[in-house]
Amino acid sequence: MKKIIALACAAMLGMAAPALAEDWAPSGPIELQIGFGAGGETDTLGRVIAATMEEQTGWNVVPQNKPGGGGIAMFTGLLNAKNDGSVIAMGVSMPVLINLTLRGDQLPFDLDSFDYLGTVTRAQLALIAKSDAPFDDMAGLIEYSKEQGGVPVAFDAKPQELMLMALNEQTGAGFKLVSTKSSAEMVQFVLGGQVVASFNAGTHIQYLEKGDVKMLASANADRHAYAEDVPTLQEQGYDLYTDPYFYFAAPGGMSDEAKSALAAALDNAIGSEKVQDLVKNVMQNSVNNLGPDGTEKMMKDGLNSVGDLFN
Amino acid sequence: MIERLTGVAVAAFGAALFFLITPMATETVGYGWLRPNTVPNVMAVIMMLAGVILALTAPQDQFIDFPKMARAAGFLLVIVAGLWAMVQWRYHFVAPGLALVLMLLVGERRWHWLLIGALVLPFSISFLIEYVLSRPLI
Amino acid sequence: MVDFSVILAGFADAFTPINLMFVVFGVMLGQFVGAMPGIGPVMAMAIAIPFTFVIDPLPAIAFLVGINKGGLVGGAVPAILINTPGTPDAAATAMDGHPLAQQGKPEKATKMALYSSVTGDTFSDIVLVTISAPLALVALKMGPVEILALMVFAFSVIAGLVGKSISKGIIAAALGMLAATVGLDPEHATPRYYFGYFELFDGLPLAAVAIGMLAVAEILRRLASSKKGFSAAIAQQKDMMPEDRRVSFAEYWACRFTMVRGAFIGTILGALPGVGSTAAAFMSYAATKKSSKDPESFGKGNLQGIAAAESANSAVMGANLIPLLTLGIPGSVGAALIISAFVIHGIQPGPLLFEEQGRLVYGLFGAMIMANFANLFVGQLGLRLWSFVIRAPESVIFSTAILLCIAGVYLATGGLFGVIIMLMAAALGYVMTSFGFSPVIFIIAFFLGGRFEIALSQSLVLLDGNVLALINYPIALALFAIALITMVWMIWADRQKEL
Repeated sequence: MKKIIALACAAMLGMAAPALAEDWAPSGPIELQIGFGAGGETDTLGRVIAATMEEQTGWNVVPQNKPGGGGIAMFTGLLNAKNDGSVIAMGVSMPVLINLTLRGDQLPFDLDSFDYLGTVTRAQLALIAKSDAPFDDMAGLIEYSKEQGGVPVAFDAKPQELMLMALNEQTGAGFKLVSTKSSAEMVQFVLGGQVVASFNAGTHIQYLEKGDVKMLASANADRHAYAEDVPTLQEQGYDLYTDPYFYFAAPGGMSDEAKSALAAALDNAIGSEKVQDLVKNVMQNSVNNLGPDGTEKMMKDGLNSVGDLFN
Repeated sequence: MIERLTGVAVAAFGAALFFLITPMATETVGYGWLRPNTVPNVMAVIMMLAGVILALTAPQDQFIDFPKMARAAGFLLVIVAGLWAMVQWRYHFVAPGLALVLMLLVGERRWHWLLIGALVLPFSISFLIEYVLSRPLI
Repeated sequence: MVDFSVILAGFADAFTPINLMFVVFGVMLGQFVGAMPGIGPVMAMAIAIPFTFVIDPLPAIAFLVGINKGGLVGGAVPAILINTPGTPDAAATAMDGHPLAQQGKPEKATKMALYSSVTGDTFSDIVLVTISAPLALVALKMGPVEILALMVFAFSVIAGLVGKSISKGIIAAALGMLAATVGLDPEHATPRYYFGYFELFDGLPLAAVAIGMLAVAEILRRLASSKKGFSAAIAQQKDMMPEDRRVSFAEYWACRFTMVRGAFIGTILGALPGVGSTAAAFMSYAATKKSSKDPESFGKGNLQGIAAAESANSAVMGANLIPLLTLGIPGSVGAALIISAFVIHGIQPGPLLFEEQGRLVYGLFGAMIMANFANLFVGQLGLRLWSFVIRAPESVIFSTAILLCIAGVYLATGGLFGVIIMLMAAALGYVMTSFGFSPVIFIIAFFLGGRFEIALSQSLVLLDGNVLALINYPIALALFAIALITMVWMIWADRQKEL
């Protein structure tokens, strides 16, 4: 009980503490929109960042779920939101970039419609197989698939599907593409033997530690911190990668003061111990804030590389 | 008769779905086993068949209380109007009014119940959600 | 396997006054919020999560477990008392619960729901505590093909509820399945039927459609039929016999087979991610009705019907934690919310959880057992409160219910869009009922349709579209065969009855 009271007091003290000396302060509560439903990892991240920001700045930061199309619905709504800093949004880069590439003519926005505030971290994407599989890397998996006349491989997002299709085309592996809804479902299928290999964005790490699965490759641009010895797809000779970021944006045309104050507040929150711990626990990863300009560059470069994937 | 017309309407909807709506509202994909329009088309065909069977057999006729349906539509309209007003002037100001109108429409005239239903309860709801839970409402 | 001393230490951690307090508080909150039409148990948990940030892991999880379990009991209350279920599984409870309440026995109906809910819940908790590890291994073997077969089997059992007109039942089911296809298709992620509304990329919001069709449509019906709004929502006789206000042990005992069957169905389906409480509640209800000597009495206030639905849907919740704790796979939205509470406290559910956090897991089990008892005691008092509340006139009850549905769906779906969908679903539900189509059949098909299409897509890829390849899937073959036998048997049984 004592600990609880102490924590509650600490939280209240944190809220009462004076805000950082900034020129800008919001006129009312800040709505932090999260482009996904309640309960997922994006939602958890967003809520903890909102709570931390509130503690650190004394502003009233209210998280709001705006699910729909991996953030498309939220960003569409953001077009009509006030750009006075009272609304900020948290999304994941890939679904936005994919939809801009595939059906950009149907979307009411493009990358320039928003101001970018920063990133939280990058999702780490791996290719995994059961630990007793008769191969240890991508070349082995492809060879095995050819021998078997095509083996099932699971994915849960468009970039992953495109990478598998590219591999099929480049190598004639003949993978059968099994569409799933989540990393957890993919681990389940690998362990249950329903698929021979799958992508995975974090759920696999405990199984890796326990020795139930092995990692064939990193599907990011570079290796993962928890598995330094596993090379990337690119290092293994397949020029494919994807780097999905969790990032913050706001309605375009914000004043410079508001933008820099919000970016600074977000940076403080993202750098806090609580958020760092969370990112470490949830994604076995470290926080990585690219800042406003870096985030904008990441999105624009990403749009080009996604365009390449489809060609 | 109503039963037969219902069957015809369902079959017509199935046909419209199959020939017009689905081709327009789904994308065409050139690979894979289950195409985006596979399940919708199967459902459309099922509706066409079941609708035709319903129209042909129609064992007993369905009694429909149209006056009651009209009253229900009226109440739905009131609620839609209330929702529209909430978007203009916030939930916590409009909710008591909407409750009051609904209560008056069903014939409630006792002032103490009107007070509870149109003031105490709506304010409790918006107070709990907006202040205790600090979740923004409409 | 976990050391016995760890198990004891875990339980010892759980049974402290502070945890008991959090459990009881959670159960009270869950029963109260769960009983609000349009809000329901999942919403109660989502609201409570931020409050658990500042407390220790075990009390935090105990609190959420309390809310979850309390919400299950609370969710049955509006379904029984005013026929406004907020979820499909509560609609199964309403089928016999509401008629019984209308006969002037609301307390008997809600108490039966409470007792059978706690019974089913306790059953699945025992399974969870004792044999979750081997059961999880079995669940792993259930791949897409087996899940597809299981869903076909579930449909074949539930089809027994279709009612008088088979073609109308099929139309309602096809419409529900069609509604489930709105949004990104499972295989290629292309949008379907979104008509420019990007919110629809994720499909029609489940909560909005369920609350609209089941609850708001019923509220509209009651508003439209109330000639004078000052009659009480449920007429209770003043000089009621005491046995009409409680459930006697003999009545409870008479439902024992029903509850065991319900708990069994719920536990099995709960252990498999994604199939969920809708299928369980209706399978249990349909099986009970089919095997009853007096199937005509169902839908008219039969205690067996309440027991069947509530024991099954409560068992699902406990069993949902099996894939969650052993594999880190949430089987439902409620389980996903419990995961996020774990994660916020730095605990990652998964295969290492029992080894690394064994003490905490057994503490959680202890909290679940406490929550079941708390449910029973809080329920005794809480249900009395509700049967008092519904003595208020219909005018007050239904206008407040509408306000709650609007607020609840707004919060649950993150905006106005869900509320509009809810009102459209209400209109559709009303029209369907008027023309003799069952909205409940629609909702079942709608809730299971998405999962069915995914399983179908995955199965076709795995089988290369070749039905003969099913030979390699003996479990699936057996389930398909049972489904076929069930269907033939039901048609045959119906023929017999007509002769």
